[in-house]
Amino acid sequence: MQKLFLTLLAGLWAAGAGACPWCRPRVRAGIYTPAYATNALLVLLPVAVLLALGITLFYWDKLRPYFSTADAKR
Amino acid sequence: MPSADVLRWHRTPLVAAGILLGAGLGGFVDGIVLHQILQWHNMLSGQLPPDTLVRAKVNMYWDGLFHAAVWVLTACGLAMLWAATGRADVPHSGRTLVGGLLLGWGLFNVVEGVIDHELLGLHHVYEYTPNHLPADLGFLAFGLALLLAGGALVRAGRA
Repeated sequence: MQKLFLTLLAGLWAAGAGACPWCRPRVRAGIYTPAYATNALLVLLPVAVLLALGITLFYWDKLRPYFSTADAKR
Repeated sequence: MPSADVLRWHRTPLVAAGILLGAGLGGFVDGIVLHQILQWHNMLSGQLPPDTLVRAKVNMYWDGLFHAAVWVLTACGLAMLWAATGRADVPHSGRTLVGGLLLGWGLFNVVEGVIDHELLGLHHVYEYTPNHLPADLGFLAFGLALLLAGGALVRAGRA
């Protein structure tokens, strides 16, 4: 118990885990490339499709007349 | 509950809310289970294999963007559910809602599977094999099964 307490106490003064300072600029360079917008578009595309589908279905009762050619002809 | 001759039931708002909620939660299942716990793939692992710390962290960024997007999907579904339950013409049907949730999860698997895995090749379900097709097809088949189950529950909710 005493060893555990001392270990925990020593942890208070221990240096924090390194956050890889040298790789952060490389990571940022890897993210913000000229292809950033394309990558973002591609990653978000399936979610955008599903969101559009859900919103269209939610308002379908109001949108139906705009898609119904039979109603427009009447 | 209003009688059917006074007010016509509208189930589509409840189904739509269930679909968005199900798609969002299905996206979280994908992100949490396949990206983080099992680490089978990452968002751009088909184009940028996470074989170094820097590449893994770049993939982590795109995983985060994906998670943020499915969070928005879930929040929109929740808002729609709130709006739908406040309407007198929308039935309070658990089967319809659960059916919508399964439809949403199935749609997520099919839409994401077709676009990201098959058309764009951003990643595959299981990257650590030369033959990606079996796992990709399994993912799509699971999505189709969810669609069938969800459709059946929505139909059962009409009764």
